[in-house]
Amino acid sequence: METVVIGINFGSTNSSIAVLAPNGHFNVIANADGERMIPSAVGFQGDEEFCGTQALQQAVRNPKNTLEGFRKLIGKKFEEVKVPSDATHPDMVSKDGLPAYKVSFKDQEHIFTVPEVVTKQLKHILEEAETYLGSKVTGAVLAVPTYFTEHQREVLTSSATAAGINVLQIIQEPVAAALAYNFGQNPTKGDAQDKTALILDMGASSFDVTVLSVRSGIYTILETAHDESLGGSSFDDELVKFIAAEFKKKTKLDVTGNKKALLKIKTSAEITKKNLSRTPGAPCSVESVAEGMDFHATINRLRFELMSNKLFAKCNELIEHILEKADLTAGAIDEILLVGGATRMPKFQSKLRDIFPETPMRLDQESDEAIAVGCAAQASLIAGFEKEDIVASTKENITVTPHTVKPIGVVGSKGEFITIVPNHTPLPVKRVFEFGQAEQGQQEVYFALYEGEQDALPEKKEKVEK
Amino acid sequence: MVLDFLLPSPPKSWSADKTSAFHAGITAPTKASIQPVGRHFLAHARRYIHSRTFSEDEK
Ligand SMILES: Nc1ncnc2c1ncn2[C@@H]1O[C@H](COP(=O)(O)OP(=O)(O)OP(=O)(O)O)[C@@H](O)[C@H]1O
Ligand SMILES: [Mg+2]
Repeated sequence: METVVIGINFGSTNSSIAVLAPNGHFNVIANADGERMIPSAVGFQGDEEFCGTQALQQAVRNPKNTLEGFRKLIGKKFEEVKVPSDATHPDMVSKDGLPAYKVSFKDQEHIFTVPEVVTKQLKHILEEAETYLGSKVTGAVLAVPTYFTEHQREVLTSSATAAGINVLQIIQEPVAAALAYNFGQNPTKGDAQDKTALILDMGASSFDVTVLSVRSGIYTILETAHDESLGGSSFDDELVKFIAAEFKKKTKLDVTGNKKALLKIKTSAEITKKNLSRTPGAPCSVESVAEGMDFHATINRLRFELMSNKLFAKCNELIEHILEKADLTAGAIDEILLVGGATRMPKFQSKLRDIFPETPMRLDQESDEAIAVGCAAQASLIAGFEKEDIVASTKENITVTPHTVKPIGVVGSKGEFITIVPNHTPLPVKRVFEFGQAEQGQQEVYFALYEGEQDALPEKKEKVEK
Repeated sequence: MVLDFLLPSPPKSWSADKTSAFHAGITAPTKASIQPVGRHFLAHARRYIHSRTFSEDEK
């Protein structure tokens, strides 16, 4: 059978699919309506079950039977999850100890566990891919956040398998993004591409920060941090507060306790927020917020940035915190890779300049597509391998390796340290370098290898090789 | 990598009949996980599985 493999980004808010196109580029698959993002949502209405865009479209009208945010609950027990249960959220119950949604469907009450809902969503993704490709998909690589546990990965794998997906490999989101950006993947003899990236992923529900080093094309995660109060959705909430206050000024109606009204406002606020990334002012319209009254206004970007000031500041604090944890200065970061839809906010990007005045910021991938593209790149790389070999190569005996703690290098005539093998390099390592001859016809050379850039170079630390 | 400098001359204590001298070992390496993705990782896995060195692997 012909191998057709895809990369799947199953995000907690949006999913997307990428494939290797005949021209060697990776394409993100669009559905019949031209949409490249598939909302991670499942909905039930009357006799029908919806996934993706259709599920989201009926969310405001039918919130009790619209399931969202289920990716976060994968592999969790019922007692571990804290989910709001109110007029705008579906009811949750425990089924065999697992969190499950209680929905009404076909005039009956139905209970679907989180893994079952995940299977529905993944099945929808698979169908979209097969419709687009016009053929069966033979394998897929999926990505998960760095904080997913082994158990969560297993549950995701079995839900995907139940959806008919042959899971080739599960990789980490920031690592997928690094692959999509082709970060450090083309080392040559003259340039080992020893670099360190800061990967900033702001989706809807969290801000995930990763420091990743690459040494001769091999990635090591040095540090991770994440904050669930800093997703794109928190920025929507700032706008909601503002709109509710404006609405009250105009109509004397207080909607702060009115969940349904707030949900309506939030849906419109998100659209306004996205538009504000492109234009300095954007309209915001909410039909029949409460008591049949509408809200219409134009919101300018500066206003939005002011109300979100604290959130932007917290983003920078998290970044400074991770640098400190990784024991790195801002200057040690060679590139910043932006991932996740919310990193498109201009203020988010300009704020980064407070910490990194000149560090190159990569925007060449559509930020919310990078993960799917990276998964597709990995999928096409391993498409021809036997499943057992893929599994064997990801076992600890191969992936856990010693890394250098300090750089190893030589010292130049002015006493300067020249790094040959940097710190954080997985061992064994091979480095090829050339140096100039001191004299014509010279037969022998003497050089001293030193370790540790920061230390003064005591005589004793010398290691000499011919 | 081309290093653009002249190597210093050997210290007095150096005798040419030894091929190399170790004055100190390197700091004990730390264990960390490498990410199982990309061509270069696959080459690493292949060398590990077949217990080959870099030079053997290039052949
Ligand atoms: N142009 C834009 N400007 C501002 N925000 C945007 C833009 N496009 C998308 N977003 C925001 O990005 C978020 C969705 O990003 P993404 O698709 O990366 O999320 P996700 O990966 O599904 O979620 P998570 O990472 O939280 O699991 C939403 O909050 C959305 O409003
Ligand atoms: Mg995400």
